[in-house]
Amino acid sequence: MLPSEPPIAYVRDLEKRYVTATGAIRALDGVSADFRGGMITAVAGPSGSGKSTMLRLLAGIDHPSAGEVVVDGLRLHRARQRALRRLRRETVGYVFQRPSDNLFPTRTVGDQLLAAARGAGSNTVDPRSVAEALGITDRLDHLPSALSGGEQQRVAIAQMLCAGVRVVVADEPTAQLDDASSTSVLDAIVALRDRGVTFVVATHDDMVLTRADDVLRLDHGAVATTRGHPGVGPTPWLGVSSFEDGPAALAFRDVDKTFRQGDERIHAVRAASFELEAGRIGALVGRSGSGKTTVLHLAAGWERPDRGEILLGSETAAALPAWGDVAVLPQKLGLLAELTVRENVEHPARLAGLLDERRERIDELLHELALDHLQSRLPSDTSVGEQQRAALARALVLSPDVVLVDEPTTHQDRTSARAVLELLRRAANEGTACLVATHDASILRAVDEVWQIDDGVLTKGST
Amino acid sequence: MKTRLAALVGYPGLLAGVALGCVLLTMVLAAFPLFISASASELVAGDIRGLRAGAGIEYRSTDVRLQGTRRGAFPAYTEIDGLFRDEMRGAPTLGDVYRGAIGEQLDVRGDAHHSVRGVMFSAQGAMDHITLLEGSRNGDGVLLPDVLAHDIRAGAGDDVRLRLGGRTVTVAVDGVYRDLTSLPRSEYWYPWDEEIYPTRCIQFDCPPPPPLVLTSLSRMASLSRRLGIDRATFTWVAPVADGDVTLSDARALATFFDRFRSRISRGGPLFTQFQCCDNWLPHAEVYSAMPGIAHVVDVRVSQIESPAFLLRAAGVLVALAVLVAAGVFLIAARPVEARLLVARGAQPTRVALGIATEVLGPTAIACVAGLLLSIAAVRLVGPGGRIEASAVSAAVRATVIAIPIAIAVLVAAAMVAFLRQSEHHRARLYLIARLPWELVPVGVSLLALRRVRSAGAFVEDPSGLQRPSMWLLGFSILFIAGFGTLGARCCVLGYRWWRSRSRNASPATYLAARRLTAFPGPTFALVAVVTLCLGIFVESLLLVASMRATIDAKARIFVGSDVAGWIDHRTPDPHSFPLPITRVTRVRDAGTIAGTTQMYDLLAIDPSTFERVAFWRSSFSASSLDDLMSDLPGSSDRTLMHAVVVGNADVPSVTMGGQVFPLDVVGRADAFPAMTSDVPLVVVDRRWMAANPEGEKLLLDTRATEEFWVRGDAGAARAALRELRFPPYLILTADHVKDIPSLAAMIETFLVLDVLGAGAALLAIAGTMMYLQARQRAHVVSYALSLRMGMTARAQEGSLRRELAVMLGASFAIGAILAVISGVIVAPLIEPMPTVAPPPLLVVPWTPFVLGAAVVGVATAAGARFTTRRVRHVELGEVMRVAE
Repeated sequence: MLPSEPPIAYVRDLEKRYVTATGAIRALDGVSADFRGGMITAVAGPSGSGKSTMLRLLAGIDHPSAGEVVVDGLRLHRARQRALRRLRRETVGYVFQRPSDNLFPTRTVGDQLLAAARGAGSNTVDPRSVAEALGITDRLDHLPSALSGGEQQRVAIAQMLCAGVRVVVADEPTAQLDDASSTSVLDAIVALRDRGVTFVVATHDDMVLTRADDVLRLDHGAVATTRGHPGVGPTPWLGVSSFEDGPAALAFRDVDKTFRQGDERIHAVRAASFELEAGRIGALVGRSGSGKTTVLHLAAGWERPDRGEILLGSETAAALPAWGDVAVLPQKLGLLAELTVRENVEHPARLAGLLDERRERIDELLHELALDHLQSRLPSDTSVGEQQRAALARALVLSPDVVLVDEPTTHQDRTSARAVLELLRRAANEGTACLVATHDASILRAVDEVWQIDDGVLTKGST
Repeated sequence: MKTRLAALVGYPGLLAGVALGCVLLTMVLAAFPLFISASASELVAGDIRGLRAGAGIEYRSTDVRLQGTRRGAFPAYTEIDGLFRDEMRGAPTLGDVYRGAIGEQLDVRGDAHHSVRGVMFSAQGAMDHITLLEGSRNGDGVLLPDVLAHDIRAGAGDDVRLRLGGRTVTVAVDGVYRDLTSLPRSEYWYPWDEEIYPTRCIQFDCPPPPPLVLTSLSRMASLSRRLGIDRATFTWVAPVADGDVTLSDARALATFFDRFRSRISRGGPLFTQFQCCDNWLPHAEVYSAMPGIAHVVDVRVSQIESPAFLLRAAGVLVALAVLVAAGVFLIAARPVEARLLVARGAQPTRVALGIATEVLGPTAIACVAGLLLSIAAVRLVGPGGRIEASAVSAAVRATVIAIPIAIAVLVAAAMVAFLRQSEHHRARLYLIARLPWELVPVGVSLLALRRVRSAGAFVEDPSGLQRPSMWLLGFSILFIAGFGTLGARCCVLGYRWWRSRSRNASPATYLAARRLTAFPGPTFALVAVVTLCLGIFVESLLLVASMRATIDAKARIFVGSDVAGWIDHRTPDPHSFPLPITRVTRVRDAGTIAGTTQMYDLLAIDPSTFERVAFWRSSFSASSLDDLMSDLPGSSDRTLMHAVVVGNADVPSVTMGGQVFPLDVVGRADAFPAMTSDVPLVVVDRRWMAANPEGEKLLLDTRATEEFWVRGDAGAARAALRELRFPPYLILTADHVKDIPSLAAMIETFLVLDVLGAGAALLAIAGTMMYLQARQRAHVVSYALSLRMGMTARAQEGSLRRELAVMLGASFAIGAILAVISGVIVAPLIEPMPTVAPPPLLVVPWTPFVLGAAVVGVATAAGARFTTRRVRHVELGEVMRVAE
């Protein structure tokens, strides 16, 4: 397709406002953009910039407050629900961020592909050939729960192909995947692009951005830059800890942990030993399911080791250490839905009776994580990335001795990811030992220590 | 298709919800006809217990020939015997016919030359229904009752002489049996009740009828012939057959009896030989208690049906609410599928079809289970009467109807939940929810009030019972619903104000205020629903208490005190009596107010004993009863009457026996014991009346009733009155007056509403707790993390307690205030006996108020404890692991 050809989809002066319990939110504000057919267009931008909203409008799931949305000749802003449903059935496929959200949990992969083909009312697409093209033939008889995240996303894309859609709208399809899984999904996307399928992908994943044909950058609901690639590169080096070497703030001694999952016994952590000194950032790196999160849970006191010893400072860790000793940013963020963003950040200080003396720090944290303008919103009115940053601020509000951080950049764009890492470095400089679990190898430049973890076995790595 | 049919198997919670809703719906629908049928059968059984003979059909004819064939107008018994038995063969639920003959009264004399009156009697099976004391049942002579045998000093084997007119016959005594009046009454003898017991005697010294001299029919015929008579009064009895009799059976028998009676009264083809009506000879009559029984049971069933209908309606609403919740959870429990279906443009009709397919099997199975359970429930805990086949058919039909209804509700609720997944529909639903819908019930309630004020608060049902109209019930419910919803909106605004003021409050208060305002929709809905339920509960309590107080006051005013015994004017006052007693004479339409045509009633009392016996409320008069009584006696002037005047009329003087008596009105009252109409009541001292010739004449007039009034326990008072040497011929208690079906029906209707309100309030409170529990479960990670941050479990529980207390407390307060306002409007409209004072009373039942508040308090504490339990024991690591 030539660039001069008319776009398969475009938006003009697009606006979207949401009314929430804490006020109106302008998610998109006068966005105009074209999406070329048979191309991959990446929609990039910081968390809360309106990427997901844009995708939902393109898929006809949401209705614009003002402006035009046209997809495959259909004027979505004027279309009736019946036409929008047909569009979603026949023309536009939507891929959710969480891989498991894209599949019916109780049906096998083969059934889902067949159902998609049948729903399209077309016999031209053979589900088996699609499965073959996407490398999931051996998974046809499996339930989604038996698939890895990457496989689930590939099955989701395969369904789109079986359904005969021409446009696939995907919301951060690689955000929750490790590098290997991300690569397999991206390969599938590129392969389908080559067969004429149009992709519009919301992302802040460099791997996606490098493979995209076009990039639409959004910021605060408006277009920042159109066309071309933003600079893609590694996470900057943020310097080393300025905190003087001290004793180990957190130490594992020969720790073992197993779980029972159904009839299976899973050895999540095997004879793990490491020390993290105060004022240093350590990273646990490994693919999904390697045991990273279990190490964090053990350190947080949420799990008890089967064997071995965990030390906080020079003492054996208490069953449940105080938030001021060990704070956590879990993957499941756990923000209180009834509190605003600011109130959530304040929460540990309020409970500790330190709210007044921590007010300045709270303001700083909100500012550094670009949450100032969101502080009076409820978490449900913010993006996942913004929620994740609020949860990080909550973890750091009491300047804990140890902070345990699980995948802190998963939902962050590069700017926000940098802000997150800078904040961790600042905390380290103030003496906090930061242990980060991640599958994002790109942040290793920002940490002081690295431990590779694979099938529960911890080995020392290099930054 | 096969997969979809079994789709819910993997979701036991959903399956349980669907099944619960379906079982409830079917039970409510199916149990109703079964319950009504069983109740009716039980009532019929209760009414015919001991009365199978009377409840069947009796034919009695005088002057039936004991032997031979018809002679002139007098048929032979054999002739009627065949006809009657043929007729009864076509009747439903009747047993074997038996026949009895009773002869003339005659003298029975033994050796002692002492005679006693007796009457010859013969009936089929009679020998089997006596207690033989001596001799044999099967001889050729007669059997004497022991009282008769004793009086004439005769026994088995002796001879006795029977004398009638100038003729005497001698007959052997085969045996002696226990006199029937000394034994409990039995069904067999019921047709001859009047010949055995002094049933028609209302005087206390009335002698019993002459005892029965039993013999065989052939012996009776021969003895009668020798005594110069050839006829007797014959009774043919077709008793109700053994076994359960349903209301339909009773109605069928009543209809059969009516047709039979009308046919023979018209001289129908079968009974042309003789007539049944009073003006013909021989005198014949046909009787059955069954039409009366059927009518009474119809009325009682109608009494049961109305509250049961309300219960059913409420049960259906609860079942539908459960089904709606289950329908919503069909989507909510599978958010991934729902989101995917929306994202993939699934057509709502297809989604609806899919859901219908999923729920078809569970719904059908649960509905059938509901039918079986309703049968079991009615059989195990319901009335013990037989369930008619038609009721079972109705229950099956209800089950068949329940299946599509349940599926439709489940699918509709699921579809609303599904459409909420789409932003477009969610926005629409949000807009719809924001409309001030409460103005609709407010408006309709005002219309209902207008209607009640213009058309009256009561309607008459087909059985003639007065019942509160649906407009009256509708007003209460809609008034509380409309203003309760408005109140709930105000509550949400108040909670927002509270949130802004709780920044520096304790963590528990701080979190409670935020939870209430962060989810304003559920808060609003819960407060509105709990307000409605508690409001209905309180209002019904208030109305029931007010009606009971009103009816009680009216009944006691009607009776005068707790118990009234009607006596002959010659009956002397008792020397001693265990309870406070007074004597009054009431005279209806005693005369006129002088110079007018307005009649007045008169009550002559004994002021010295009246006060401690008569029913009195301070609202009856501005003066105390003590003051009124102390001023009443004392006039020595025979022309000046000291009187208390009750009513609004101005009564300067009254006529009595043609004379005009000026009144010295010592006091006035709006209501007074014995005031039974809106005619003015003049209360005077009976001693003054007795001393005045015109007064004495009036006291002995036929319009006057002389009564003892007794204060105290009704049972004890009745027993004490019966113990008097000359007991009252009629004893009336306040409970008798209150036991009027219309009044009972009204109270029952409001009681049912009360039970429904209480049940619904408990459900709503349970629902509130379940909502908190579900929310806690959904946010378990957040709350568990909060505990990790330093929030104590005590503070967590405290915050839930505050949240619940604020929600339930506000609901209870708003509901109670609205209930009282509604009660103040409605109570005066409920006038059960307009002619009897006092006007409707308004009683605020403080005890239930306090109890209700206590229940809210307990629910708050228990709910908070119950809800916190989950968070308190959560394994954060495990939860996180599962979540990820």
